[in-house]
Amino acid sequence: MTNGPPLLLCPHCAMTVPEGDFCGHCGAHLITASASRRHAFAAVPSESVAHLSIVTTLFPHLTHRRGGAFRWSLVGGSALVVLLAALHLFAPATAVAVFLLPALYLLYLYEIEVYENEPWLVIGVTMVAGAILGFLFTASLEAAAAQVNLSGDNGTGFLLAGVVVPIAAQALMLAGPLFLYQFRSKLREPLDGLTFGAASALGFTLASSLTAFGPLIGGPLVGSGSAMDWALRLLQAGILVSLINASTSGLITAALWLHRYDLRRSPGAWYASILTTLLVALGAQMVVGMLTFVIPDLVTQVVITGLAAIGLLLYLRLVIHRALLAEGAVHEIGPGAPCPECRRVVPTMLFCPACGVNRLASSKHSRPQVTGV
Amino acid sequence: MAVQTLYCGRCGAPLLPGAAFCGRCGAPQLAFGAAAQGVASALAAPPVAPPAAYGYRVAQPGAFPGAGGVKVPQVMVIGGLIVILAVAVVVITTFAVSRAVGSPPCTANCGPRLVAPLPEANTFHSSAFAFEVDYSSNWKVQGQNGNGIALTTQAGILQVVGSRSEQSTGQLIDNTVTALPSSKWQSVTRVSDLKGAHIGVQDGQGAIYSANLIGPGTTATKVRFAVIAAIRGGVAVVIFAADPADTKDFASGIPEGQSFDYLCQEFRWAQ
Repeated sequence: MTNGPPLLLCPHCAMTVPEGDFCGHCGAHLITASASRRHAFAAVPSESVAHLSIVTTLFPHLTHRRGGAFRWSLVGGSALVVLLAALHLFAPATAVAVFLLPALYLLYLYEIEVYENEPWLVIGVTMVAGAILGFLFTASLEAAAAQVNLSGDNGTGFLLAGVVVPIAAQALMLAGPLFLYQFRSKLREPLDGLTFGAASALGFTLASSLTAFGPLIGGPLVGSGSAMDWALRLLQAGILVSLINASTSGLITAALWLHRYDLRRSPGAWYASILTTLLVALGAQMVVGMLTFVIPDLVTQVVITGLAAIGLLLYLRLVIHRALLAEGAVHEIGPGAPCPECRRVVPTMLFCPACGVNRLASSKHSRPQVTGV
Repeated sequence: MAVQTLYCGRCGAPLLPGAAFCGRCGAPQLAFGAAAQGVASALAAPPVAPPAAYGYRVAQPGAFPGAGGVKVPQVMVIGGLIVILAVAVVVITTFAVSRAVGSPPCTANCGPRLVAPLPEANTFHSSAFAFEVDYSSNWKVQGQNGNGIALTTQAGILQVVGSRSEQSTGQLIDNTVTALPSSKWQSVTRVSDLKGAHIGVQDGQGAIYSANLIGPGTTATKVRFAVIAAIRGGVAVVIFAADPADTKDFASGIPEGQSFDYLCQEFRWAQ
C-alpha cells in the first residue's frame, strides 16, 4: 500500500507510527505532546479522565454511541424506583432498585462477550457466585446484627459495621474474579479483570440488599410508610452501594490484571498498584460503613454514600486509563479498518490514530484483529 | 539527538535504522510502506509532533461488513432490561404479598409453660421501688439505676423498669410501644395478647408485637418483642423483652421466651 498516511516518529515511545492525533502504539496525544493525555479517556476519548460517568466507567467496552441505551436505561430505572416508592409500591420498587444495575451488567456482558467462549463459567463464577456469597454472608450476619441493634452495643456495632463487614464482604466479592485470575489466564486484559470484579460485586450486592430488605418488603402490595424514606433507602442500597462495591472490586481486579499482564513491564503508576487500590477500596468501604453507623440521619447517609461513589468512580477511571495506556508492547500496523469509536478508517493498531481509543476497550467480537496482539 | 534503538515488535530483535523489515524474522515494520529514505529522515529528525494531524476518512456504511458490529441493538438493551426487571418485580412482589397472608398470628398460650431454671442467677434490687429480679449471669448489664435494669441477653434485650404511675396496665404497654423510636423500630404490629401475663405474684397484662428493626445502613431484621405490665402497691413495673423473630420454632416467635418467662416468675415485689 502506498496511499496510507505518512509515518512519523512518536516522541514518547520512539516508534514509527502513522500520522494522526494520537500515537497508535502508545496512545500519546501527538498534537499536545502529552503521554498521559488526561483530556482523552483511553476508553472513550471524547471524555476527559476526570469526567463523572457511570456507563463509560463501569461499562468501558461500550463505545460512546452504544452507551446511550445503557445510560438512558439507568436514568429511567432510577426514576422508576422513585416513582414506585412514591406510589407506595415498596416491593416492586425494591425489585427494580436492586436488579437495575446487575441486569444492565448482564446485558453488557452479553454485548461485549468478555467471556469469549465460556459464558456460563464466567457469569456463574462472577455474578451467580457473588449472589450466593452475598446471600449467605448477609443471612449469617443477621442474628449478630439484630442483637447488636437490639442491645445498642455501639462498640461491637461499630466494629461490625465499620471493620468486619466491609473487609469480609470485599473479600467475598473478589472470590470469583480470583478464581478466573488463577484458572483462566487467557482472559488477560485489564478491562477483563475490571469487568469480572464489577460483575461479582453487583451479584453480591443484589443478593445482600435483597436479603437485608427481606423483612421490610413483606406486606400488602400498597404499603404504608414514608415514600421519601423508602426512595432514599432504595437508591442508597440498590444504586449507590452497588456503585461503590462495583468500583472497589473493579479497582482491585483491574490493578491485579494489569500487574500480571503489563506487556511493557513499565514501572507503573503508584495509584494503579495492587497495594494502593486495595488500600483505597478497603478504606472507602470501611469509612462508608463507619459513617453510616455513627450518622443515623438517612439523608446524610445518602449524601455520604453518593460522595463515596463519585470519588471511587473517578479513581476507577484513572486506573482504567492507566491500564489501557500501559498495554501494547507489540508494535504492528495492521490493515485499515473502521475504528469502533470514531468510525474513521484507520490503520489497525492498539490505539486509533484519529481518536485515540484503545482497541481493547471495544467489544471483543467487533475488534479489527492484528496478529500478535 | 541520538537515534534511539528500535526493536521488532514480533521477535524483539534490534532493528537497523530505517529497516523496513526485521533482520531476524522478516516481519514488516512499516505496513504502509513508506519509502526507506523518508523513514530514515523521520528517524534522524528530532521527534516533533506534527503541526496538523492526518485526516482519516469516515467509513461508509456497509463498506466494512462486520467491522465494529453491534450484537445487541439499542432497543433490545432497553427491552431486555424491562423484561428482567418485570420478572424480578413479579417474583418479589408475589413473595412479599404471600408473606403478609401466609402467617396466622398467635392468639393464645403464646408463652411457654415449662420453664428451665436459669444458671447462676444474679439479682437486681431496685432502690427506688424495692423490687428484686433474678437474671442469668450469662446476660450482661447494659445499664441500671434505682428504677430498673437493662440487660443484653443471649440473643436480644430485656428491660425491667419501675415507676409510680396512675395509668392502667394497657396504657403502660401502649406508652412503651409508642416510645420506641420510629427511625429504628418500624412496622410495629401487635401480634397477640399474652394470656396469663404476670410479674411475680401479680397478674398483669401483656402483648407480643412484631417489628422490623432498622440497623445501620439499610439493614433490617424481623424481631419479636413482648411487653408485660403489672401494678402492685402503687408501683408499676414494665418488662420489655425482644429477640430476633423465629416463628418457625417458637410459638411466640421469641426464642428466649422461656428465660423471659422464668424471670417474670421469679420477680419479687416489695410487698
